[in-house]
Amino acid sequence: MVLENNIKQLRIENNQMSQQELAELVEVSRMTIYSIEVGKYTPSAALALRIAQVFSKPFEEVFYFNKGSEKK
Amino acid sequence: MKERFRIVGFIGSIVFSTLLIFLFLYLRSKLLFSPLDPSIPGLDVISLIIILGYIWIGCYHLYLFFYLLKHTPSLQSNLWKYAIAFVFVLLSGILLISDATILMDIGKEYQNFDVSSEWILMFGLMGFHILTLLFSYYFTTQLQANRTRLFDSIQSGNNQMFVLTYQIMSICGVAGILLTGMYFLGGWNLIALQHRVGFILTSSVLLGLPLITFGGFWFMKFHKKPFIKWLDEHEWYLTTMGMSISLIIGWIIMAIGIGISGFIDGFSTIIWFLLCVFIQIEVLAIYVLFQSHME
Repeated sequence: MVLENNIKQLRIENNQMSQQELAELVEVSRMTIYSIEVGKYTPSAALALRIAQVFSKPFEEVFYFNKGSEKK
Repeated sequence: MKERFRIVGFIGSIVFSTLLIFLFLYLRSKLLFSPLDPSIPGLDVISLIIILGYIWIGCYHLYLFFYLLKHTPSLQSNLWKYAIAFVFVLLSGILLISDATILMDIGKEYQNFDVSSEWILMFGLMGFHILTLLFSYYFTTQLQANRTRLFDSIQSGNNQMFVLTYQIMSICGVAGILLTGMYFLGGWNLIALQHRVGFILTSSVLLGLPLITFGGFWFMKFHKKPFIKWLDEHEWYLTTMGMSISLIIGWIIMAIGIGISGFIDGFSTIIWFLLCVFIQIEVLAIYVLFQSHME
């Protein structure tokens, strides 16, 4: 199963927050946020929780498993 | 650092470089194989001009290095061009030491040996210094003026240095592969290599450059943080993944080289080893740059 996320959508809903602004809030680089958004990198539990906290959402509303993309 | 220092330093360096070339041409015509000591009018003055010239050019290289370092955080584009400027300035600056070694060799050996290849190397190096001065001056004119102090500028900067470090590493890797590959294909052995000082110095500079840029920038930016926090988790992930892949590739190349050396006479294992290290650096840089590409 692939871990996907709603970060891009949540950023837009939060006053068009930029990748750089989110990166500064969770103390990582913009490249890291970009890589998570496009699914190139799966964040650690600690970073994923920090991102969820920024949007004041439960973890599972930000990150979820996409069962459809599971390899058979 | 004021802009006028950059212009005065550049003009002075170009004037001194040109003067040094003429002085070398003059000295080459006088320092000929002869059992008698040559009588060169004004040798003391010439020596003083050479020393002053090298000090001036060396200081200007140091100035350029800090100038580029200071502008790193405000950089948004032209990263590859910037990385090339960085490599040229540091390589040329450190190779000034190689110039001094060759000049001393010429002074010691001209009466007993043919030193024409040393002179060719000297002129080649001076050409490289001038090329570096012209390119870096042109490039620094493209940068926007940054009036903040070096330390403050780095403290408040962004994380462009991660990509820039690997770009510098990639340029050093390519240069190192070309250099060692040329020596290896030429069938030269390091023990018998005529210009081994220049070769070893250039190789060590190319190997050390990414470390200098990494250390110089990140130490100033993050010196209060533990080393593990200098990069974020994704940057560490890319670095360790790249290192693992380059280690495996280097391991295979090394094993092949050691195996071949048992069958071929004159196979230089040391140069093969250096070539292998440069290939590893290149693989690491390419992996990280490819993975950190953003659209």
